[in-house]
Amino acid sequence: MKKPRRNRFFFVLFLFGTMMFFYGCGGQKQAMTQDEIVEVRFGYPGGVGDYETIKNKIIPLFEQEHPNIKIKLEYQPWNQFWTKLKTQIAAGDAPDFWVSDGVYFMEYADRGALKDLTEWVKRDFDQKDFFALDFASSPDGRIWGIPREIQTIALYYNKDSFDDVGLSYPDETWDWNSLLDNAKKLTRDTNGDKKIDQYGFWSTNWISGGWFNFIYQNKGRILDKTRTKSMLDRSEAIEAVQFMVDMVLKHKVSPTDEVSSSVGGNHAIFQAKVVAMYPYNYAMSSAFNQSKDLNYDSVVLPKGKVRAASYNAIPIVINSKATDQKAEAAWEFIRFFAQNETVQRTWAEGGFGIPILKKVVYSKSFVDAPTKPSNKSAFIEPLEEGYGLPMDINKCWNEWRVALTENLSLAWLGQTSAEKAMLKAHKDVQKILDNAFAK
Amino acid sequence: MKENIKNKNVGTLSFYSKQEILWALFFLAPYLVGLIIFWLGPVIASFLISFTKWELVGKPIWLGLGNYRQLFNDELFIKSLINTAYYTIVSVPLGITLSLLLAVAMNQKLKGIVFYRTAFFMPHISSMVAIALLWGWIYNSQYGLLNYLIGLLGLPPQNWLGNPKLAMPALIIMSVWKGLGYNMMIWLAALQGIPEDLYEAARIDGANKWQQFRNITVPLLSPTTFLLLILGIIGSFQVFEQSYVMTKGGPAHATLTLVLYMYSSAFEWLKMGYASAMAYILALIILVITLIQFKYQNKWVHY
Repeated sequence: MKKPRRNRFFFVLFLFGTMMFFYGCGGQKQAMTQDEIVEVRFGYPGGVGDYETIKNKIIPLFEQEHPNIKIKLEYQPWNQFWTKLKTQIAAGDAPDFWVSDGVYFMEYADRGALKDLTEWVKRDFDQKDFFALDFASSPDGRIWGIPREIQTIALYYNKDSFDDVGLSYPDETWDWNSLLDNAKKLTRDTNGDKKIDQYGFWSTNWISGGWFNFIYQNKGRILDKTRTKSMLDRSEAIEAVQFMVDMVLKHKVSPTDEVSSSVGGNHAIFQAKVVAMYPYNYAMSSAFNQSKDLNYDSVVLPKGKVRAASYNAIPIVINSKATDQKAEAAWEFIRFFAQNETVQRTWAEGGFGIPILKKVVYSKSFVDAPTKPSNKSAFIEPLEEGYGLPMDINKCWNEWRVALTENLSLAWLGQTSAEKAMLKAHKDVQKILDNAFAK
Repeated sequence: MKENIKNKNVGTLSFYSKQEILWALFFLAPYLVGLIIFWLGPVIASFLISFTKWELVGKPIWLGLGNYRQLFNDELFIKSLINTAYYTIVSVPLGITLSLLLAVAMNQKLKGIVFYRTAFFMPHISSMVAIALLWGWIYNSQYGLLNYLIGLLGLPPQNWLGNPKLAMPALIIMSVWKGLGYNMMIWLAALQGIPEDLYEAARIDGANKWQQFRNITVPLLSPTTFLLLILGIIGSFQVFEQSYVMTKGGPAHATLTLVLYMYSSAFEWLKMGYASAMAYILALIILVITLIQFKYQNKWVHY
């Protein structure tokens, strides 16, 4: 009786094993037969619009000029990409190069996940032909990526709102006082229902179009130049935040977050004419242009003691673990994207951001393009004049930014003073920095 | 003689022949492999990682008890513990009590009672994320349903999710609402297990409904109470989706729960070791509470 049972057992085991073998084999790819073709994986977070452009217009152009390189796009919607990337890096299976969010790149650079591109940039790029080549650099000057496009902050304003009260449009002479005075005149009840329907200026608790600019315009800083020490306890920084909070709570010229969210969130308040002046980046104009009767333009941010405006860029970075051959192939693409005029024009005309090739910036593809806003030079001036500032990016940027924002939210709610909130934030942020940079 | 020996070994491995054991292992293998790879492996790995500083990129650095020591000095961690405890202490008793009352109401042979039971159970099977989005709109301070309703009562509108004092209560209300149906079902099953004649006898002795409830229903339901209490505490200590979807831990960290802090530490700030230490402290806390409950069940649970 034992013999048949044993045979049956091993037979089933054999079937099972064979099944597993074929299942495991299914995922194998064919080995590269032509050694000349280098295939590189390109991690791509994005929206559908820019993905289509990259896939259908830019990569074919590149592969035409570089027939020995094949780009394999690995696309994820913007939010999902970062989580996936982290697990891929942990597993040693990250793409050869990828598009990074400008504020995240130091997380990877500081942990050795990115390739140092400084030498190649020196060798292949002429600084004077480009904007923001050094955006993705660490405090020691090493460059980790080349921007795909740039986003600077300028002030959008609703021309109709200004016309309605007979005010002249904002210009470069504006400072904090002119901002406040005009905001007061623009904050009003437009339909007689005894409720404020329109506010002058959007002063909310955020970094890019918010306290970063005001702090640096007031000659303060968030982090020091090494990006390891908090400078939030200095009076210049506290004054700047106080000014922003006063606009909401004291002068009441800014909508609160509740008002904004009930209208439908961020850009909706500008499109719905709920706020007359709105600091935001260039890419937002694509959304605004979908409202055909939104009569708006842009101007540089008003100046404080000095001029300052935050800017962010989207750098393309290379995996430090990529083989030399693949790293060079990736570099060819990055170079091509930045230096090829047709590519830069196509990208600029997509409205995704400011291109980095100066020639294209000052052409019909960008500054002279017939789309709104007409004064696009407002977005370029911070780069030209050198007062565009990256947002103190370091390896724990997100962590300290959240800590600072959470502390400031109490000030914005009126539950504590700006000074107390900033001093507490200073302690919390310094703790985070100390932890991150401890040896 | 042989048969007697065989009976003695019933229930042990030696009762089975080698063949049978091999077959058993063979059929258990897929499940066991999954358990080891996806549960045991990560549990052990997480334990080890909790003693290191590892930022996902690069090598782990041995820290010994460093992470644990740092956690006890971490203001945010303490805050998340307090928030989670607050959430548990309010939502669990509230949920259990309300769902018991609901179950008593549903325990009637009325026409259409099945419809009501189903309706109350629906929130439980919906995804927490969908419910959180929905309640986000209910809590909206300008156009939300809740402020409209309390406005009818003459009360001023509240900033439910933006006021640090109201945000956690808002999440608690939503979570209790969602969990009512599940607890109600369990209570219902337990209620229907109580013999009718006990109530008959009590009625004959002149007990009113409230006395019947207090002296028959509640004691006989105590095993279920115990069950729901344990499940409730274990579950509520792990509260995450509500704050992740609705408030992201704000405003001013008022709704920062332990698991949310753990999630941010691990997947947003890449502090894998730190987050693993948090996970183990959470597990320890839940374990201790559960053990205490088991120890004291003799005092109040009647079987």
